[in-house]
Amino acid sequence: MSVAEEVASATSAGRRKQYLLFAVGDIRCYVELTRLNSVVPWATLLPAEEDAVIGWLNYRGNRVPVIDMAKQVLGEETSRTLGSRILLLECSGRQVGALVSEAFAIGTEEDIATSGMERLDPCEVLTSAIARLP
Amino acid sequence: MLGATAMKFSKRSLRKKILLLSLMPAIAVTIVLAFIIWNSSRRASTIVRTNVTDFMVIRTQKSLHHGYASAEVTANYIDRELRLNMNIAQLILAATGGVSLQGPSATRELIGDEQHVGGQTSLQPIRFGSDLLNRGRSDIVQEVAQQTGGLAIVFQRVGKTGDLVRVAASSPAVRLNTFLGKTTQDASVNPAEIISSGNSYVGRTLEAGEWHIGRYEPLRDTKGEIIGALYLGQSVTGVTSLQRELAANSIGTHGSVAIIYAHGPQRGQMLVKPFDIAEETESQWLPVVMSKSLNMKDAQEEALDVPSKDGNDAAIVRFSYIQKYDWILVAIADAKELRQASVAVKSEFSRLQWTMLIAGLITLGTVGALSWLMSRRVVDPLLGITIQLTSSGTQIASSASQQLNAATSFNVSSTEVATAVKEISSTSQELLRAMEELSQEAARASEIAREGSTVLAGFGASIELLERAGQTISSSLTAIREKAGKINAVTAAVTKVADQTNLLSLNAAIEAEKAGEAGAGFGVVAREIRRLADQSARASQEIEQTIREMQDAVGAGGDEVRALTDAVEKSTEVSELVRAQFSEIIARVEAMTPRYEMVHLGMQNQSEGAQQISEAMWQLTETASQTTDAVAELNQVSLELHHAVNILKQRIFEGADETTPETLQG
Repeated sequence: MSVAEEVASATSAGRRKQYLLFAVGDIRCYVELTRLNSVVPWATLLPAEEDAVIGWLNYRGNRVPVIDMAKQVLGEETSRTLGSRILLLECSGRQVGALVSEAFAIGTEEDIATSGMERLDPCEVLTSAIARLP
Repeated sequence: MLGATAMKFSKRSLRKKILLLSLMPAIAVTIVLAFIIWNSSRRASTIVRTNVTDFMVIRTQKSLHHGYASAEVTANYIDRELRLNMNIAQLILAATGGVSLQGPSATRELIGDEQHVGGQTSLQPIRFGSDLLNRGRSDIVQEVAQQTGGLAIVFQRVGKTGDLVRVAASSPAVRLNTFLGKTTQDASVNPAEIISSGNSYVGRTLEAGEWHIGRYEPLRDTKGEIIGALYLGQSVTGVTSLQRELAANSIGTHGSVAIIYAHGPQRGQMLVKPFDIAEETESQWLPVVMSKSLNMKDAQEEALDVPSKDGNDAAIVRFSYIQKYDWILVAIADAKELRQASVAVKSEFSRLQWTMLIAGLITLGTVGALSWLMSRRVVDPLLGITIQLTSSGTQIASSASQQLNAATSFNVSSTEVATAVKEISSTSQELLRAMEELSQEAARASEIAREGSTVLAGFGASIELLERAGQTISSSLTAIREKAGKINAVTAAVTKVADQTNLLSLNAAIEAEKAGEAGAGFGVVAREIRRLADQSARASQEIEQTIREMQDAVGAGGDEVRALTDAVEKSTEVSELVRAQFSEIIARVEAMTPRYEMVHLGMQNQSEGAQQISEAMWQLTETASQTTDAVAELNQVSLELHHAVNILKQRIFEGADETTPETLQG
C-alpha cells in the first residue's frame, strides 16, 4: 500500500491508539501519545535552586521545571547524550519536563503487547517531586 | 517564487561544482604526467648523448689501437722474414766458397748525387767463389733473389769513407754504380756509415725506383774485412694489404681512417685517403695533425675534437705515429652520428608526450560528459522533490489552518517538516558531492597506479621514474585520506539532521494523535518521515563504515608504496614486485565502487521515500479540505436547525398556525 492510500484509509477507517516507547536508564517503557504535549532534545537549562528539578527549560517563553526520571525511578542520574530527550506533559494542571535516556519509537498496542514493556506515566512517578516545587 | 529561484541558482552552482570536481583531478593528472615525461626525455637524451659519446671515443681509440697493432705485427713479420732470408743468403754465399776481392782492378764510371762525387774509379771486383760480379749481373745474386723471393743487391765499399756503390742486382731496374744514400726518414742516420762499422741496417729505402723495406748486411772477406754489403728487400707493395685493411676499418657509418707520411719529401702525402666527415673537416684537423707529427714518438697517441658551426662537435679525431713505416694513422669519427641517437630518443619521448596529451584530452572529455550527465541525474530529481514537498507542505499548512482544533500546531509542524526535508536534501547534495570527489580521487589513484605500472613495464631500468610515480601515488592517497575525512564530517551532519527529523516526527505523531480523527492521515505521514530519518541514519552509518575501511586500505597502500619505493632503489628485481603491489592497490580501490553503488541505492530509497511523502501530503490536503467542508456544512446545518427551532418555539408561544416547511429548508 502506498503512503497516499494509507493516509486515505487512515482517515476513513479510524485509527489505533499510539504509544511513545522510551527508556529510563536500562528500563524500557511506554506511555500514551495523548498524554504528551511535546518531545524536545536535551538543551541547556536555566539553573535551579530546588533539589527536585535539574533545571528550568525555556519552552516557547514558559519556564518549565525539568525532573530527571532516572533519579526518581532508579536513584541515579541520566547520562546525557545526543539521544537524551525531555518529555513535556501536563501533570495536575502544571507543565512539567521529564528527562529520559531515549525516545526510540512510536508503537501500537500490538507492539506493546509483544514487547512486555511496562506502562510508565511520568506524572505518577513525579508526583512527590512536583509537590515540592514552588 | 523566490524559493524556486534560489533552488535554480544552487542547482546550477552544484552542477558546476560537480563538473569542476570531476575535471580538476583529470587535468591535474594529465599535467603531472606530461611534466614527468618531459623531464624524463630531457634526462634520457642527456644520458644517451654522454654514453654514445664515450662509446664513440672508445670506438675511435680502439680503431687506432687496432691499426697500430696491425702495423706492428706486419712490421715484425717482415723484419723476421728479412732476417731469415738474410741467413739463407749468407748460407748460399758461404756455399760458393766465401766472398773476396780478387783479380785485376777495373775502371767503373760512378754516378754521383747530392752527397757523393761521381767519376771514374778503379775497383777490384768482388767474387763469390768463382762468380765475378764485375758485369753487374750475377748468377749467385739471381739465386739469392730467387731463394728469398725479394730484391737482392750487392754493394762494394769505395774508398776509406765507407761509401757503398751498387755493383750487382737481381733486378735490371736497379741502377748500378750509384751510391747508397741517406734514408728519407731521418737525415741524421747514414746507413752506409752503420754498415761500414760492421752493423746491419733495417729500414725503408728507395730501391729500383720503388719503396722497399729491406735489410743491409756487411759483406766480409775471408780475413774479416768489410768489403761491401748485401741488401735483401721486400717491396712495400707487400704492405699495401695492411693499408687496405686499415682503410676498411671504418668507424660508425661516416667515420674513416687516414694514413699520412710524417717526414721526408713525402711528408703530408696521404697513403690512405679518408672519406665523408673526415674529408669535409680535413682543413680543420690536418694542419694540427701535421704540426704535432713532427715531435711524435712511436705509438704516441693524440686527441683532437673538431668543432662545427652550430657549437657541437663535428668530428672526433684520434691519431698515432707508426715509426716503422713513418706513418701517421688518423681515425676520424662523425660526432653527428652520436647526436642522432639522442635526437631519436628525444623524438620518441615527444611522440609519447603527444600520445599522453591526446589520451588526457579524451579522458577529460569523457569525464566531463559523464559528470555532466551525472550532475543532471543527481540534481534534477532532488530539486523536483524539494519543490513539491515545499508546495505540498504549504498546502497542508493552509488546509490544516482551516481545521478548527489542530490548525495552529498543524501549520507549525508542516513548516518544520518542509524545513527538515530541505535540510536533508541539501545535506544529501553535499554528501553526493563529497562521494563524487572521493570516487574521482580513487579513479585518479587507480589511473596513476596503472600509468605507473605501464611506465614500469616500459622502463624497467628507469628507477627514478618509478620513484616519482610512487611519490605521486603517495600524494594521491593522502588526498583520498583527506577527502574521506571531509565525508566523515558530512555524515556526522547527516546523522544530526536525521536525529532532529526523528524528533520532529515524534512531535508530529503527538500532534496527530491529539487532533483525533482529523490527524490520523498526518500520523501516517509522521511515521513515514520517521522511517526516512532512520534510513538516513543507517545510510550515514554505512558510509562511515565504508570510509573507515577505505581509509585503512589507503593507509596500507600508502605504506606499501613508500616501502617499495625505498626498496626499489637497491634492486631492479623489486620492480616486478612493485607491479604486483600496484595491481593489488588498483584492485582495492576498484573494490570500493560496489560500496558507492550501495550507498547510492540507499540515497535512491531515501528519495523514493520523499516522493511517497509528497504524495501523502497531497492526499492529506484533499482529505483536510473535505473535512473542513464537512465541518462547515455541519456548522451551517446546525445553525439553521437552531434557527428553525427558534421560529418553531415562537410560533408555539404565539399560538399561530403551522409553520411552512419552506422555512425549515432555508
